Amino acid sequence: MNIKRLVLKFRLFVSTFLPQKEKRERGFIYEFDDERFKNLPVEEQGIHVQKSWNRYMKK
Amino acid sequence: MRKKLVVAGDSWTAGVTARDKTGRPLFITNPTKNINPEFKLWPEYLGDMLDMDVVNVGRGGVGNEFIYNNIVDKLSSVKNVGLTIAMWSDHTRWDFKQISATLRIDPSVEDPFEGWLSQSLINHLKPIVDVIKSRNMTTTEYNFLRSLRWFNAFQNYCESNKIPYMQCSAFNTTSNDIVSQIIDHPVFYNMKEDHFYGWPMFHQIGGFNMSDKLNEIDPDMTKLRVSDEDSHPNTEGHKYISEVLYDEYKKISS
Repeated sequence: MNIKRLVLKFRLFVSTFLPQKEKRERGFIYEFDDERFKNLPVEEQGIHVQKSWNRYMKK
Repeated sequence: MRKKLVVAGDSWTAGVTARDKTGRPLFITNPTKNINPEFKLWPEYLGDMLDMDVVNVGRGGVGNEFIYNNIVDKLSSVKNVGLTIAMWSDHTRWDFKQISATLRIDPSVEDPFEGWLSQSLINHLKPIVDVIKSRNMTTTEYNFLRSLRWFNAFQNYCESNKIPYMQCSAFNTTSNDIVSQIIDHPVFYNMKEDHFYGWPMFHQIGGFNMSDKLNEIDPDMTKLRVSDEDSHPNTEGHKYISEVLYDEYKKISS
């Protein structure tokens, strides 16, 4: 463990001199666990999701 | 009888669209111009390559506790498992499974209640979040070590039950300060590196996650991602993920 740890510490030290490119993940998850939503027919659920998406984009 | 590929993860494994109980997408129209909600996900591609039936217990938006619980529950009941894969999520996510909610609680997150949570759920969760915060349980180091122990527990579950397994991280970024603290933790050295694709996870110390892997061949994030607004893998991205996992599986199973 000690040698591994030293190697990792060394790599981490070296990495401070390298340019770091951070790429942020972006995205949306559609989760509808509301009981009222679950009870809708599938087509109605689809319309609900579409409307939510439109609202999100507008915002 | 065909063997089973049992997988768990977040939206990178379960897809980004709402699906019904059979896994069918709920969209009747397409919310983004570049996404076909019915596209195949990496578990389906990989299942074809391995000639295994897929059992996908992933779910969009969840954290690592949910992933660990779901995959261990499923592995406890499914027979004839040929391979199981956990594709872990972001360590900042806290799961409250009983009320079907996951929040991002971390110093890097200004508002854990951002998103589409209903007001009644927020009212329900706010006192819990306040207690967690007041007990200093939401440092990035604490959050990551929680996840690390689940990685280790999943590994030990599979080892002790002799289930072929792999694990990897979908995406995860953290600062050098935090990495420095994490690599001092003994559990970090109890991970079987050949079963964790991308270990030691953080690019600063030579590891990578699946997002890094996609960026190797698509640095502009234009070919393998859904869109500018949505960096989830598109169908080509999922196909690529299945190929790298397949190659890795061949290595460890030979």
